[in-house]
Amino acid sequence: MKLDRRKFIGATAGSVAALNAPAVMGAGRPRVVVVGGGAGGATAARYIAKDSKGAIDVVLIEPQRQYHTCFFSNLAIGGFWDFENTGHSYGRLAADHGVNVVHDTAVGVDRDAGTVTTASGAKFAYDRLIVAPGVDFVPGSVKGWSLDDQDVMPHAYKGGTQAMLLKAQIEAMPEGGTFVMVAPPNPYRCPPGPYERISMVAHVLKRSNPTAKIVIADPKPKFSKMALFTEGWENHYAGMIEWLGPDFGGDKVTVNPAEMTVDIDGETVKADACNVIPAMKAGWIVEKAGLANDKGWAPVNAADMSSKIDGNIHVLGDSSQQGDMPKSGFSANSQAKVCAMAVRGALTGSKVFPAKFSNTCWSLIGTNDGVKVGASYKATDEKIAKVDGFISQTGEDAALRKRTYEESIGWYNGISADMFG
Amino acid sequence: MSKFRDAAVAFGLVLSSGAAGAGPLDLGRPAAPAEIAAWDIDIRPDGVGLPEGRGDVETGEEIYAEKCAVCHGDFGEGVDRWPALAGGWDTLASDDPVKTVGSYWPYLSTVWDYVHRAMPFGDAQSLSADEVYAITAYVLYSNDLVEDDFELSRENFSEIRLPNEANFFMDDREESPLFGPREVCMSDCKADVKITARARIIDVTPEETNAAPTQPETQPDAPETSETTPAAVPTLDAALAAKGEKVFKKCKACHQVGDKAKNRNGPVLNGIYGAPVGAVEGFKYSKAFAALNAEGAVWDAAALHGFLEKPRKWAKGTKMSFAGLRKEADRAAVIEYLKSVSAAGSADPDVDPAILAIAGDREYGEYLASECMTCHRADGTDEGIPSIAGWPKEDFVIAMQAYKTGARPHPVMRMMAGRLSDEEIASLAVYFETLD
Repeated sequence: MKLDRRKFIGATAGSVAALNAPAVMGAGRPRVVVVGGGAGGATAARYIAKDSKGAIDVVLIEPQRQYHTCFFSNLAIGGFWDFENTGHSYGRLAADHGVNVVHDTAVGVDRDAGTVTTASGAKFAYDRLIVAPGVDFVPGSVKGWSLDDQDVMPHAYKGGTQAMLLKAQIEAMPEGGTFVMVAPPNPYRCPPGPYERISMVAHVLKRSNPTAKIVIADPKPKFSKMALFTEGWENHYAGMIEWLGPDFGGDKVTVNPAEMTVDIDGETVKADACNVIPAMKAGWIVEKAGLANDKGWAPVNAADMSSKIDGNIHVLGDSSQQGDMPKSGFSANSQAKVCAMAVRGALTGSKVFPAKFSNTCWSLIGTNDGVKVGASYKATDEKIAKVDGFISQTGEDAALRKRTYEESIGWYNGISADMFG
Repeated sequence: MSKFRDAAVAFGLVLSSGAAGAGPLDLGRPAAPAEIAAWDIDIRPDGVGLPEGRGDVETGEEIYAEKCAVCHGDFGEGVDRWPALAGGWDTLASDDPVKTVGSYWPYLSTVWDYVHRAMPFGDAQSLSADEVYAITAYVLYSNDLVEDDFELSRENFSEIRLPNEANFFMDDREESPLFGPREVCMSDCKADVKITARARIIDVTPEETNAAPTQPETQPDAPETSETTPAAVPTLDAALAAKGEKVFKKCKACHQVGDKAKNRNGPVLNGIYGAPVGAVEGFKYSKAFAALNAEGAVWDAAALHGFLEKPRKWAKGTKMSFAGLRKEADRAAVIEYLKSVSAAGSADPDVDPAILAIAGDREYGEYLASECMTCHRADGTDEGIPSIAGWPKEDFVIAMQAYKTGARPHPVMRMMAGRLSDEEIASLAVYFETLD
């Protein structure tokens, strides 16, 4: 066998793990392959490796060396968070827990053979496969827009540099210019995300370009934390934001990236910056592996996040269709821990406890004005079912909102440590 | 001013000779940069030494009300003999000058420096730079020197001039003690020594003679104590207690509650309701309190009402310099709050001993804890979201039960605790106790 550079690095990482791992192990170790190193995949890889103490060989396949979280990218747009600080590396997953991190793209899954193929041609056999590729966009869901237009009309909805591109375009808007957002239909990643983004854009414009306008074309009649955002926009950015729901043609949108115009129900709006967030479906590899349903998502069993189509494969986070949980980093992280426990139980006989899930989504509306919504969930036979929930109230005092914002920063640092060690 | 500068020069000399290493005596070592930094906190009149930061009048007022007003008065008027910070205009030439920041002080830097260095009384250097800016801004405001929307920062600090600055100048008279080297009298300098006034008259010294602290509070397990404590578990009016917690802000400068509470200028007040008077461990009481303790007095509602209304009337000779709570409703609220603060120091309701006794399964706890780790940090980081690693098991259970029953308000934690069984809470507690 030829030893190429990537395999060599992989082998080195493995031997570091061998030095760290207290348990005796060798050729007979069961292997878990994780596709995707975000909130679901990185957490699952870390927990399986950490808690099995070397008894399970964990391979994480993720194309990016530096992972940028989608969460808090809005705050980077608003200037409340350094874009640099949304970036994380995988060094500690390898060094602390012996995860074999392979920077490559998974391109195929042979479910009969139990192998994953990557773009470079390598093949990884698995005993259990965990798929957590996030979302992809539904082609043609926004008329006139394709991925080729993402430099002109960015989506800024998958982490990475898109958020910074959008920020630069907002800052370059002429005085009194117009920012247009094409909001996505349900279901999509991070339900309050587009509206937090509007808040952040308004925050930037209010300072640098106070006569600018913001228009949201939205196919949905209502959205996450609607009362809280509406109140906040009135408080902080009165007169600046115009939200067009389906009653006002927000669902009949065509964009023209070449002309920088957006046609909303027959009326053409000249956009100086335009954020197109298309409809979403599971990450491409889910469909490729034959795990998707006709809606483009991967149906899973709630108890262990295993695919309803193949019990040896687990699907986490945004790609999964699990029931009541929103598609969020917090949810993916929560699901990953249930999945990690179940996978360890299946492969090493460790104890399996009942599944518990939870989620909280914080959003920042303006300086020190944070709100949150969250719920707890349990596994039923049909789905992940909501048990109990809460949401910030309108009219809360400033001190509470500030605490909520500070809490969100604590959460960001907490979940980052929980994902990447 | 000249005195201050000389002192600064002398201090600089000490430092530099220290830094030179082995001097003639071969003693000591050079001061580490961090050690120097810890001492080098003085702020010069021109603003040199000020850290980055800012704070506005409104924020300052909040902090001031909580931490300063108990002694300096809500408007800087000064309570009892504690210094006034505001007012005093045109009194400097009178027989009874009132020396405030607005009437007397030459430089604002002294306010910043002093607040940062020495305040709040008993908890010095606990304020952040922003808080000190905010308090300083509020002090300016209370002296009518700035408007209510003013924000003080390092950038605009030196623009602020105090009215009395011009009346301070270098003393260049030859007979000035600091003019130059001179013979200093070191013995028998005054033929006739007599006492002209006693500090007690002007009320700056507590009425405590040099009697040794041989008081009953140092004798543990006095029999009547153990009989009086289990008086009764009081029923609580939660709304009134919450009101009392706000009133209690006035007391917090000197009295702490909670599991980390320590005796400060006043004793810790955990579980004070129903406890014997003058019996908090480790606190040095006045004679008045020692006597009350010896009489077997107990902090029941009547005693607390009496003491809180007029402290120095109820316990003549107490060290507590607080003027008292005139409103009966305030007193009732504070007393209700004190009832709610258990002896363990938490404001949480008591938990059934049977629940506290549940052993818990650490392995199960570790799995359940993974859900907590999305927000809470295993390494004890405590920013925005508190650290829960290394808590004693019982404290953890009491806190979680308080969320579960709704006694603690945080919505996320209520939700999380609400669906955990008593066994699950115990398992989590066992796990977190083992994290450092």
